Amino acid sequence: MSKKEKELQAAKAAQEAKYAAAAAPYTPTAEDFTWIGSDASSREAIARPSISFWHDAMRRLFKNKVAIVCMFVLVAIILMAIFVPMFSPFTYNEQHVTHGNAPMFTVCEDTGHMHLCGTDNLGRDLFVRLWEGARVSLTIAFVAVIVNCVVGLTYGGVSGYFGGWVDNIMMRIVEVINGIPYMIVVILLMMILKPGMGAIIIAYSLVGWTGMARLVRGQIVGLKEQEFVIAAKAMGAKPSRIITKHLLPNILSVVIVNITLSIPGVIFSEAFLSFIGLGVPIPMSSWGTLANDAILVFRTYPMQLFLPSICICLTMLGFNLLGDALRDAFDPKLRR
Amino acid sequence: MKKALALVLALTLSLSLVACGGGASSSAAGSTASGTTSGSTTAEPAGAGLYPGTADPEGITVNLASEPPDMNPLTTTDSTSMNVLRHIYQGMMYLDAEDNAVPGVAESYEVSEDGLTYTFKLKEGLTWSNGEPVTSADFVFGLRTFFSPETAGDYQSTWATLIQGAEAAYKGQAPVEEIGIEAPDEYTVVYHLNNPAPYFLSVLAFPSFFPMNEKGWNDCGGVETYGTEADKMVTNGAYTISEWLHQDHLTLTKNDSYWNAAEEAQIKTITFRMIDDTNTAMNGFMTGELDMIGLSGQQKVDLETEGAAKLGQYLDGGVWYFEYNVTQPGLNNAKVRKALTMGIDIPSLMENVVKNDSVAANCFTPPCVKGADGETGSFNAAAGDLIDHSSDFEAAKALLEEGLAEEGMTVDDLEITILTDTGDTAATQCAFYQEQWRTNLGIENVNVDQQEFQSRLDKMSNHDFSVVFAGWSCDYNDPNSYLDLWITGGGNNHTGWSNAEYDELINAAAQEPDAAAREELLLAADKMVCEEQPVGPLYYRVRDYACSDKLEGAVRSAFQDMNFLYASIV
Amino acid sequence: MARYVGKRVLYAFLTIVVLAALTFFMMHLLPGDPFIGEKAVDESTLEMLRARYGLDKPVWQQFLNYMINVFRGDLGVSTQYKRPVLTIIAESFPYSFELGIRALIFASVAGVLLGILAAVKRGTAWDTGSMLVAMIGVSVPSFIVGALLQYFLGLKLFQWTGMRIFPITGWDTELSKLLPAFALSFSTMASLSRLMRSSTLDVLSSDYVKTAKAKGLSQGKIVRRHVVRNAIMPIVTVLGPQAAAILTGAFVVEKIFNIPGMGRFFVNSINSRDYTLIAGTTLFYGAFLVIANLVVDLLYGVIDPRIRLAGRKE
Repeated sequence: MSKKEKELQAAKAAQEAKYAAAAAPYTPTAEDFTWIGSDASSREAIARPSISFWHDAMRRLFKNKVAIVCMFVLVAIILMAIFVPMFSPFTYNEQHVTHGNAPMFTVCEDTGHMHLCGTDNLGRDLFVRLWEGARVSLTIAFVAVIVNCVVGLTYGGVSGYFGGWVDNIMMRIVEVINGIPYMIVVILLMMILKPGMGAIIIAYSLVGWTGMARLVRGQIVGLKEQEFVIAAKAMGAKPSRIITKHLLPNILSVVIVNITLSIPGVIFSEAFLSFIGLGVPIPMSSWGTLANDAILVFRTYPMQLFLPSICICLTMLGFNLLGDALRDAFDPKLRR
Repeated sequence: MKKALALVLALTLSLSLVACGGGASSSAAGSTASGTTSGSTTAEPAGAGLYPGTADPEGITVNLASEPPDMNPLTTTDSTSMNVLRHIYQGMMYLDAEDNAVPGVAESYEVSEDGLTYTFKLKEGLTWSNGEPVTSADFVFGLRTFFSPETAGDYQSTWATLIQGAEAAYKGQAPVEEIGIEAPDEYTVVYHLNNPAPYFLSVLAFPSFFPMNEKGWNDCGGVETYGTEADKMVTNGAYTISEWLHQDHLTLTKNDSYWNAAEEAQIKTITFRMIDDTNTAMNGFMTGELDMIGLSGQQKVDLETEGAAKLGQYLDGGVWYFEYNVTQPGLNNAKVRKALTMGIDIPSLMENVVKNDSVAANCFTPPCVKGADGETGSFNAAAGDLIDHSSDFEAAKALLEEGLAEEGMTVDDLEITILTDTGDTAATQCAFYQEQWRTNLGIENVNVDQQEFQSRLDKMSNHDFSVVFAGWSCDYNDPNSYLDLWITGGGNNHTGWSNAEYDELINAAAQEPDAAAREELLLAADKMVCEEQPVGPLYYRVRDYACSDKLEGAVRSAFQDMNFLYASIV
Repeated sequence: MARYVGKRVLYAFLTIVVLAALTFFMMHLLPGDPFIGEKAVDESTLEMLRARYGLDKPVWQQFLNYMINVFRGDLGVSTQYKRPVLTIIAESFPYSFELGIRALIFASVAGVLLGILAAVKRGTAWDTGSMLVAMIGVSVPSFIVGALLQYFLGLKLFQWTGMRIFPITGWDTELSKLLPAFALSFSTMASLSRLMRSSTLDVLSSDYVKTAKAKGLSQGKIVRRHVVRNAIMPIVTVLGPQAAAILTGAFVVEKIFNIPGMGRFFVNSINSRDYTLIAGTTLFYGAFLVIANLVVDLLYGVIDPRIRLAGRKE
């Protein structure tokens, strides 16, 4: 007898028992019920699982199709930046001066491989330089975002929340930092730093956060007199808790927009640093320096300008739409 | 005006730090590959009519590329200011269209047998723009003011070697009245020289030697403010300065009382614009806002392809070279230095990177200066091929390894930092050198150190470099203006190279009255530079420019970066 | 309020002094010398020049002298151009100022309108279009925008039509001022529009706007009465430093369109170690920045009645 037949028979038997019971009705008595007492833990339980602010934001972010597409594009750019220079038949410093400024899809006379994006004025393969440059530019953009977030948010938050003389002094410091000519700072830095990624990051970190700090401070000044902050204060919340839990989530939208908007600025300030010798060392490339070099010859070779510009625009678009999605996800007012 | 060339600025034609002393004809003999011509524009009117130029039928507008930094003739050092000064002042001599020194304020002159005394008769009836007559007193006052310690001009030390007693005067050790210039009468001037300088006449066309009207000088505030505004100058040239809007434009108007107004200065007004962006200048030229612009290599190629503009080119006097730090291990060996110079594919550099008709260097002195026979380029031709630019990299590599072995080093031990200016041009060229040394000589440790101008000078004087990619242009029309750079302890010798024999050659040449013998000494000096190679000469720079259809006869040369005295509107 | 303003002015003054001091000492740390060019200069000549401009004294003494002179209204003489710094600023600043004001007005008006439009019509083609404009504006810096505008509208338009509509350089006719002002304003306009969109969305979802909607106010009235005033706060914040930067030194745009403004003097002064001109322009720029920020902070109170200025607390 197979297993299935056994099961069938058991089910049949159970059904017959049920019919038999129904034929002879049973009247329940008080003894059939017992008092099991109240469960203290489940009495106050909430039916739906508790979702933290961050958890909720992430959930909404992943529901957003545009955000997914953007993340996909950004990941693709990052992957290209990692793998193209590794697998390209050309290296970023290899020169084929006999066919400099070649148009797209030129076959290299020396190696027989194709220059997908053409070459620059020294006959270096632009495709590999573009993605080599992406490494530099994306890293710097990433670092700038972190610096902006950490230093700018904290500085602006503290200054705006405490107000009074603290605010006054902190904002005056920002003004002094903004007022010193950047060029002087950079030349002084060049005396002690070797050109390269580290130098760029330091040169940016010294002044890059001030805009964010001012913006955050301005927003916080506007928010801190609102009822929910007063309520939190009245309940004895510490300043650190009020800033991080109540004020920052409310200004995140503006902060995110500002961060995404600052990215091209960062990429081009790197180009400025490279121009005066503190940026990426020759012969490395970055999107900013590629665009900067291309502007000199754009009337003859417009492609050399468009390629890095399109890359920067695409990255911007990616970050910005993602930023919008993040904004929607994080905005406590939009939380349902 | 021994000003070396700042590369970034030079190629963008902004704030070029080079100016050159007087000269003779520079027809650029010896520039083999190029059709280099000095002087008037080489016309290529294939599609004439496309660039008619500015609408004004009596005036031209040209691009000066930057604000003239110092318009006081007695202190100025840069070619930008001199481009303007040339038109509004006139010295004892001035340069004709072929760079020959011809009498300006002078009517006639006599040179003594030993070449140490020059006597000039002045033209009578010339006037300053404030109405005063031009007399011998103006020349005496001008030179005394130039050498007075209070003036503190950069050229004092350069010209003090020429004029008797000038050294002590500008250092404040003797009164300026004792320098070697005198005025026996109102229209006679006598100069007393330290040594026979065959180039002295052309030096007199240099702004340092311009006459200066004492009343005008004092009215304009003396050395503190003279030449800072249009109304703070009293001039005696073919043009007067009528408007100066700083960082924008400067307008010259023809001086009808100029002694040769009938023959020269046929253009009524010249407007100098100060556009330092090369793309903007090009757009301005193409839309008829400018009649003359300088061209970058790429722009020249573009215009040439189009074939519609009148293009011109000239050797600007600049020689570009590697300056080696001979105090660095490895680079202290002449073979290593020579091998590094040989390791650069110069023809490829010219064709693919510089992209104009700049000439590969055959010795240190460019062909734009004249030799003992008075022919431009004869010195350069006499020197012959002293630099190996054959692109034989096997030989270069062997020489490098041989030299390094003598120092107990290998190629991997050699670490090279190329110090250069900031900006695109320097970046491109240095990227090329870096890659050349890597592929041709197998040197992997090559870094490029780009520094803005002042920081670079600082690093150079501190010997904080291996190689500087730099350029130099002459002060006066003589090989000595190039060769005396490398004497021991010379202010511009940052290599640390010192050779007693070389110093002796330069010294002897200065004292030698016989022109032919002097040339032999200087040729020996040039040969020594190319053998020892404290510097590795690469190329002589050619500059390109474009003129609109209406501008004819503009002179551009190593000694007159811009001269419109002989130009006309057609 | 008067007390608060007084206090802020005092602070602003102190800030400027600190800024001047820092810049002064930092610029003297820079390698190089205002009187040394590539050609070696004689030591006696250098001494004479240094003495003429008071550079032979210790730096702290130079600073004291400088500050005393500044209070007397004398910013010194530029070592490079030999002209009084005050004259240079007085001559060049009007150009920078006019260019800046035009750019600023265009950027803020267009930016705010574009931002509001995008927020109100969220998710429509308007929103997408405004975002694309903003993205291009932010991603393409002014040196590229300027060069492209000049090339296509200055040169190509001239070549196609034969009419000189937009001159390449110059600063006289209205048309000649259009391209530079637009090139300068583009990225500011773009980022302002993004900020404005974001903060408008915040305000649109707030309770008082919902109340207003419930009251039956029209969309236009809500935006005009309730939204703009509250949403413009972040714009005002960033506008302060932006204004100072745009008004005092749009170096790149001035270079491309050859406008004789302050930007080029400022950059050249640092490159040639023209100490007096560096100090003078920095002081001027710093004062501008500080004053702009002061105005912004005061505007907070005017625009947003909920904000109590710090001074009124005590």
